[in-house]
Amino acid sequence: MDMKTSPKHLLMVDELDAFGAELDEIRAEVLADLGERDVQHIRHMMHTQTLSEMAGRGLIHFSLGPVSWAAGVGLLSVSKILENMEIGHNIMHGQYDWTNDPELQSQNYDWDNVCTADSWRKTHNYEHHTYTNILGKDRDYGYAVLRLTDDTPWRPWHLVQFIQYGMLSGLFEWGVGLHELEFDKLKSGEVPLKEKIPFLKEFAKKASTQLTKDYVVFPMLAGPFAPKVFVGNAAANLSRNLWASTIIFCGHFTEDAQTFREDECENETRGQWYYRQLLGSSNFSGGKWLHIMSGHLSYQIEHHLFPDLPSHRYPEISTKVQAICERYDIPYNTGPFGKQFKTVLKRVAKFSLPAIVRRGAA
Amino acid sequence: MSPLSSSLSSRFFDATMLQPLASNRLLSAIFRSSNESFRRYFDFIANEFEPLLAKKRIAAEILGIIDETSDVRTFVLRPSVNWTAHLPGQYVSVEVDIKGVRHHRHYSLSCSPSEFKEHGIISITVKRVSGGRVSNYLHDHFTVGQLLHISPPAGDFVMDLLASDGAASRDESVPVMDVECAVGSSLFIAAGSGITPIMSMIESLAAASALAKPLTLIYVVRSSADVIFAERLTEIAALQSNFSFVIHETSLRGRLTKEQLAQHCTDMETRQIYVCGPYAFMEFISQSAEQMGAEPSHIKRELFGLPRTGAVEVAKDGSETVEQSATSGQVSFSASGQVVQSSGSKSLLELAEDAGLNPKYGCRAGICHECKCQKTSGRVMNMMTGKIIPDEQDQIQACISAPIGDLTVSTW
Ligand code: FES
Repeated sequence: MDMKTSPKHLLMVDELDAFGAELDEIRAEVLADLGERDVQHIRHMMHTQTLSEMAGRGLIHFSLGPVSWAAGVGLLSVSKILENMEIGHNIMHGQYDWTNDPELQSQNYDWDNVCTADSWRKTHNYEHHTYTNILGKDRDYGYAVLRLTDDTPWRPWHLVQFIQYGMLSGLFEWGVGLHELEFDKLKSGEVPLKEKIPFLKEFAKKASTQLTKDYVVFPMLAGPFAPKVFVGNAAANLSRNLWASTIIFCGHFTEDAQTFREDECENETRGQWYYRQLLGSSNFSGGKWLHIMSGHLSYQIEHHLFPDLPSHRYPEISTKVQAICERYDIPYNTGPFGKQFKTVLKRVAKFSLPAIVRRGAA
Repeated sequence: MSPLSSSLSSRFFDATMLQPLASNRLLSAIFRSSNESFRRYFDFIANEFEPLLAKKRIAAEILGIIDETSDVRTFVLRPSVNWTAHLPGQYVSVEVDIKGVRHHRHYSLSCSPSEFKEHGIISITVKRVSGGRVSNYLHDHFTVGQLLHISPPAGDFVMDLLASDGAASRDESVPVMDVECAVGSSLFIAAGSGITPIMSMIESLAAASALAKPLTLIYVVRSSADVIFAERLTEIAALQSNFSFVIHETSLRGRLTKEQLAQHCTDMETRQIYVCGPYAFMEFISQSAEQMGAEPSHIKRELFGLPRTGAVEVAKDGSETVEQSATSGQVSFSASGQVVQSSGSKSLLELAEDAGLNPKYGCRAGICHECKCQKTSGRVMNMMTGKIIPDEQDQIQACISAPIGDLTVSTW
C-alpha cells in the first residue's frame, strides 16, 4: 500500500502482516479478559449520567436565580455529553454486546440525539469506521461541507469555511442526524429523493420525540416558568453539540492525520486496514474525566483499531499500541487537547485557500 | 436555485415536515418523549431505594434457602410488585450475571400459586448440574437477602381442566383456586428434578379439603438420598386419601419397566398424564402409556435436564477450537421459515443470502455489528479467530460466524 501523504517509513507487505498479527493479539487478550469490571464501568457511567440529568433538570426547573439556573444547565450538558459520548456511542458500537444484557445491546440502544440509532450505526459504525479517511468513501471526512485536503477541489465559498465550521459545530446533532440524506448527492441528482423517504420518516419521528422532550414536555411542567426551561435545555443541547464536534474534529482532522485514495485501499489485508486506521486518527492527552467526557475518543487511534472493545480499556491498550508503533516506526499522532485542537483550526484555515495561492504566499 | 432543488424542497416539505406537525402526531411525540424520560427516572429512583418497586424487570428477594438433598436447594422468593400468579407447572427464566455476562436458565416454580396469593412468596428448586454454570453459581453465590431477577411465569406444561361436559380443555378463565374441582384423575410421572413443576401441580391440588379424583405420582430417582420433597409428599399422602405416590429407585430396581409402570397405575386409559424428565425417559413413558390404553392427547410432557438441542453437548469453556470436520448441518431461519444446508465453511450471512433472504449488513468484516442476529439454538464459530462463540451469547455477528452443526436463527 503506498500512501500519498507518505508516512516516515513505508511498511513492506510482510511487515504489515506481522504488525496486524500483533494488534490481533492485543485484541484477543482484551476479549479473553472481559468481565465484571467492564459492566461496572458502563453501569457506573449510566448511573452518574442519570443522576446529573435529574439534578440538572431539577435545578433548571426550581432555580431561584441565574447561578442555580446556570448550574442546572451545566449538569444537564454534562449528562447529555456523557450519554452521547461515553454511553450511547460506545454501546452502539457493540462494545458491551457480549454481556447479553438487553439494555447494553448495540441493536437495541437509542440515544439522546436527533440522529436515529439505525442511521448512526449505518453512517458511523459501518461507513466511517470501515472506510476511515478514504476520500469519496468516508463521508465523515469534512462532512461534505469542509475542505480539509487539496484533493477536494477548491470553490470560492471555501474561503469562508470557518463560518460553515461554526454552524456545523453548533448544529452538530442535526448534521449527524441528516448525514444519511446525502444532500450533496441529492442536489447533483445522483440519488433520487424517493430513496430517502423511509429515512426521512424515521428521522422525523425521532426528531419530533427529541424536540418535544426538551422544548415542550419539560418546559410545560414548569408552567409560567416554561421559558427558562426552554432556554436552559437549548443551551445544554448547544454545548453538547459544540463539545461533540470539537472532540470528533480532533480525532481525524488534526494537521497530520492522513487521507487515502480509494484505489490505495482496494483488497486491503487486515494489517493494511489497521495501518490506515492508525495513520488516519489522532489522540489527545488529558485527565481521566477529559477522557470520559470525550467518550474515550481522546484515544481515537485505539478506538479505530478496536471499535468494539469497551472504551475504558483504551488507556491500557494505548501503551501497547505505542510500543508497537515505535518498533515499526509508525507515527503515533498525539498531543495535549489544546494543541491538537489548534492544529484542527489551522487545517480548516489552511485548506480554505487553494494550493496555488498558499504556495504563492509562501 | 435550480429547478431541481426547488422541487426537491417542496416535495420534502410535503412528504415529511408537515405531517409530524399534525396534532395527533404531536401528541404521540409528546407521549413518546415523556413516557421514555419519566419511566427511566422512576426506575432509577426505585432501583436506588427499593428494587422491588422497579417496573422494567421483575426482581425477587431471596427470603430463605432450603436444602432439599445434598445437591438440590429450594429458593424461597418474594417477587416484586409486577409479578402475577403462575399456573401450576409453569417456569420462570432466572437471570444470573456471571463475570459480567448475563445467563438465563429456566427453573420450574415448585410451589402452589396460592403461596403467592396468601403470603406473597414463590419458590424455585434448583439441582446442581455437574459443569453447569448457572445452577452451581446459584448454589454457591446466593444467600438470603440477595436479589435475583426473573421473567414472568411462562410455559404451557399446565394442567388440563375438565370443562362441565367432561371434556378436557385448558381454560384460562377458570380461577386457579378452583383448579382442584376441575381436574380429572391424574397420573404424574417425574424423573429426578423433573419433580419440580409436578410438585407445583400436586401442591395446588392438595390445597382442596378433599380430593375428589385419584391422583398418583410415580417418582423415579437414583437412590433414596435423591428424593426431593420427601417429607412433604408423605404429609400430603397422609392428609389426602386419594393421593398416593411410589418412589422408584433405579439403584435398587434398575430402570422403570413397562410392567412396573402397569403395576403402579392400572387405569391408564382414564388418566390425564403429566411426564417430566429427560427426553428418552419421556419417550419411553409416552409409548408405554399409549400401549396401555392412554389417550395420546392426554399425555403432556416437559423436557428437563437436557440442553436446548439434542445435537449440542453441554456447554464447555468457550475457548476451544473446532476441527473442520463434523461442522455441517442445517440452518433454519425461523422468521421466514427458510432452511439451508451448511457445510461449515460459509458465514451465516452468506447462508442467509443463499436462502434468498435479505439480511442487513455493513462491512462484512466483523467491524460494524450491523449484521447482528439472534441465535435461538446451536453453536457457531468466530471465523476470524477459529474459536467457538460461548453458548450463552445469543446475539451473533452473521458475517463472521460459521455454524457448527444445526443452527436456528430467529432474526430473518
Ligand atoms: S457486517 Fe459489519 S460486522 Fe458484520
